[in-house]
Amino acid sequence: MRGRSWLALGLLTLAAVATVTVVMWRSLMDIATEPVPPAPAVTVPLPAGEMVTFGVVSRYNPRKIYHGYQPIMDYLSEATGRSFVLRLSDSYVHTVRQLVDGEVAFASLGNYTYIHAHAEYGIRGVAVPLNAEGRPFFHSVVVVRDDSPLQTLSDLRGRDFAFTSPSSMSYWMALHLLRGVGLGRDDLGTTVNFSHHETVAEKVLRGEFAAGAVKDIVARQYATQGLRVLIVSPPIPAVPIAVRQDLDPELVRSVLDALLALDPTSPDDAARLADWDPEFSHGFAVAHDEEYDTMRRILHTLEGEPVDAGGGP
Amino acid sequence: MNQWSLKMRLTLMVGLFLVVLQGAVSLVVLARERNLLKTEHAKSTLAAARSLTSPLLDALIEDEIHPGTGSSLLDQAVSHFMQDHAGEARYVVVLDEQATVLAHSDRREFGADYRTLGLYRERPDPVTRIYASPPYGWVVEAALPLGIATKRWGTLLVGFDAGVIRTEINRLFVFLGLLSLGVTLLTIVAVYLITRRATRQLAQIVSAVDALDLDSVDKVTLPACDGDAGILASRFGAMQRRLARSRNELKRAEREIHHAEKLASVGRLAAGVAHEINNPLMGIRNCVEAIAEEPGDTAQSERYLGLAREGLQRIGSIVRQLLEFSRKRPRQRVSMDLLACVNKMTDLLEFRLDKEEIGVHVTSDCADTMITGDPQQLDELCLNLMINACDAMPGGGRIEVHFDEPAVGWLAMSIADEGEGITPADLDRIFEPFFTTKEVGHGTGLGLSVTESIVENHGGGITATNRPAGGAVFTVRLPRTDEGESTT
Repeated sequence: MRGRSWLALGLLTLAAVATVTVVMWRSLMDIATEPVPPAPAVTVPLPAGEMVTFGVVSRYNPRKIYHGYQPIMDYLSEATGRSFVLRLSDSYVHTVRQLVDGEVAFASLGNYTYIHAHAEYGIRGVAVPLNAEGRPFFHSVVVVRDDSPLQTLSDLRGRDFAFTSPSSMSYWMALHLLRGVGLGRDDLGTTVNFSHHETVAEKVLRGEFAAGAVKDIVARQYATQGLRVLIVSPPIPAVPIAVRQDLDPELVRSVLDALLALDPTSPDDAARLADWDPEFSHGFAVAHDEEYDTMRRILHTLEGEPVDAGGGP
Repeated sequence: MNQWSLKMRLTLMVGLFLVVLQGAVSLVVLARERNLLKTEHAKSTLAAARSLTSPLLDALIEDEIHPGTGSSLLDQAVSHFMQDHAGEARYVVVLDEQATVLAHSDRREFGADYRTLGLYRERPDPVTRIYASPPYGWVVEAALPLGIATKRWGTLLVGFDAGVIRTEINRLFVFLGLLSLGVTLLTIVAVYLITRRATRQLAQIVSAVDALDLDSVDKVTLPACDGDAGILASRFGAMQRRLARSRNELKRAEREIHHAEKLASVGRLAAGVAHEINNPLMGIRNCVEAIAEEPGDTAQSERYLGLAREGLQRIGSIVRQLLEFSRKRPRQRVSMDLLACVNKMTDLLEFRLDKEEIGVHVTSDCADTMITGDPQQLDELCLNLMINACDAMPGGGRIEVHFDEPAVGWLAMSIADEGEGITPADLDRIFEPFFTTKEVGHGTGLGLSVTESIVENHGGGITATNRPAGGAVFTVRLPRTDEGESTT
C-alpha cells in the first residue's frame, strides 16, 4: 500500500474515532432514566359503605398507633364491608370524649380509662385481646437495667422511679405492688409520670431512673436491649374495645364476629396478625365487665395518691 | 520502502487495534460507572427522602388530631431538610392524595395542582427517576408514598442535584480518554521502535545475503542479532559453512575430472606416441645390430651410435612431453604464449594429424599472443579443442586456428574444423558434462565441459557455432591478464 493510502486510512480512522467519541460522550452524558410507569390499578376497591371511625387511646406515639392499628382497620373493613378509619387523640380522656360524643364508634381504651368511662358514661366493652397464652389478661412489670444491683421491690426505697400515665393501669398496679412491700410514692426518690410505656422503658435503660413500671409486652420488646424484670404483677384484664351503649347492635355484632373469627393458629390469620399491634396479635375474646372488678377495688384503695404534674392527663 | 511499509503497517494496525480495544473497554467502564453513579445517587436521594417521611407523617397525623396545626410542622420539616442538605437538595414537595401541594421548599408553590406532573407519583412503592428540569437542571427525584399500611396521606417528592453525576462521568470520560490516548501513543512508539530494531537486523541480514558471492571463499560476517533475527543469522552462518564445504568438494571433483580427462587424452594419444617411439626404437635397434655385427668398424659404430643417440633423444623428448602433459601439478599463473601452446599440442598430435591427413593452419591478427594463465590448463584447453576438431573430421580436412584481439586486454582464439558441424539441439548442451555425440568408448563427454571450466577459471568465455561453409568453430576469449584469479 502506498504512503498516501496509509495516510488516508489514518485520517479516516482518526475521523471515525472522533465521531464515535462524540457520540459516546453525548450518550453517556444523557443520564435521564426511563419514564416511571404509572401506578398500577387498584385491585381491591375500598368498601363503599358508611365510614366507621375507630379511636385509640394515646398509649403510643401516633405514628406507632397507625402502624399497629391501621392493619386492624383494613381487616375490619374487609370483614364487615364497612370502611373503618382511625381517629386518634392526644390523650386517654380525649378518646373517651370522642366515644361519648359519637366522634368515634369504637375505641380501644386502657383499663383505667374503661373503668371510669363505664362508671361515668355507661361505655361497655365489646371484645378484649388475648395474650400469647390465649388468655384475656396482661401483666404489669417493674423493670430495672440488667446491670442494676436492685433485686427486690424493697430495694427501691429512695430510688428514682418512672411511672406511666395515671390513665394507664400499669401506674396503679405499680403503686399497688409498692404498697405491698410497704412503700408509698413518697418513699421513692424522684418520680415522674410519662405518657407512653416506651418512654418509661427508655428512661430506665438510659439510667435516668433506677426502675419503672410498664406493660409486660413492652418489657419484652426491650429485654434484648438490657431491661430486666424485677417483679411481675398479678393478671390484669386486657384492654377492651369499647362502644357506647346505643351503638348499632348490628355493627357491634359484625365487628365482634370479625374479631372472634380470627384464629392465631391459622397460617393465614397468623400472617395477617403479624403486622398488628403485638397486644392485639393473639386473637380476641368477648369482653365481660365483671373481669374488671378486681381492678376497681385496687383503684378504690389507691386513688387519692399524688400524681406528678409532668405525666399523662 | 518495504521496511517502512512493514513498520507503518504494524504500527497502524496495533494503533487501530488499541484504539478500538481501549474504546470498548472505556465504554464498558464508563457505562458501568454511570449506572453505579445513577444507582448510588438514586439510593442516597431515596434514603434522604425516607429520613424525612417520619417527621412528615407525624405532622400529617398531628394535623388529623388537631386540624390546622400540621401545615406549620410540614413547613418546618421541609425547611430543616433543605438546610441539612443545602447544596444538594433542589426541592422538597409534599402532595396530598389529590396531588395538591401541602408543603414545598418554594413556599409559593403551596396549593398548586401537580396532577399534570405524572401519575407515577401515585405509585404505592418508592420510585426514583433522573430527569432534566428547566428551573433545577438535572435532578434525581425520589417519590415516596406518605402512608402507613393502607392509610395514605399523600406523596413526598425530593429532588437532589444530578449534575454531579454528569460531572463525575465527564471527569472519568476525560481521564479514560487521556489514559487511552497515552497508552496508545506509548504502545505505538514502543511497537515502532521494536519493529524498527527487528527490521534493521533483518535488513542487515538481507544485505549480507545479497553480498554473498558463491564463488568466493570469503565469509560474510553478519552483525550481532538477537531473537528471531539472531536465529536467522545463525542459520545463514551455517548455510555459508555448508556452501564452503560444497565449493571445496566441487573444486576437488573438478580437479579429479580434469585429471581423468587428461589421462583419457593421454590414452587417445597412446597409439600415436607408441608409433613415434617405435620408429626411433627400430632405428636404434638397427644401429645396435649393425654395431654388433661389425664391432671393429669404428667409423660405422660412431655413425650408428650418433644415430642411436638421436633416436634416444627423440624418444626422451616424446616421453618428456607426455609426462609433462599428464603430470598433476598445482595451478600457477605465468605469462605464456598461447600460440606456442597451440604449436606444442600440434606436435603432440603430429602422428594423428598425419595419419588422418589433417592439416593445421594458424593465423593471427595480433601483435602477440601472450597471456597470463596456467600453462598446463591452457595446454589441455588447446589439446581438447584440437582433438575435438580431429574427431569431427574422420576423413581428413583442415583445422584453422586464428588469433585476434576483440578488445583491449583480451585475446580471442578460434579453432574451426571442416566437419559436419553441430546440430542446433546439441549446441545448447555441448558444454554439459558427459554429453557426447561420439560412439561409446570414443569419448568421455567431459572434454568440452572441462574446456569450458578452464576458460571460466581464467575469467573468459567460450562459444560454439557452426560455420556457414560447414563445420564448427569454437571461440575462446581470455583476458590477457587475470588479476582477480588467485593461484593455488
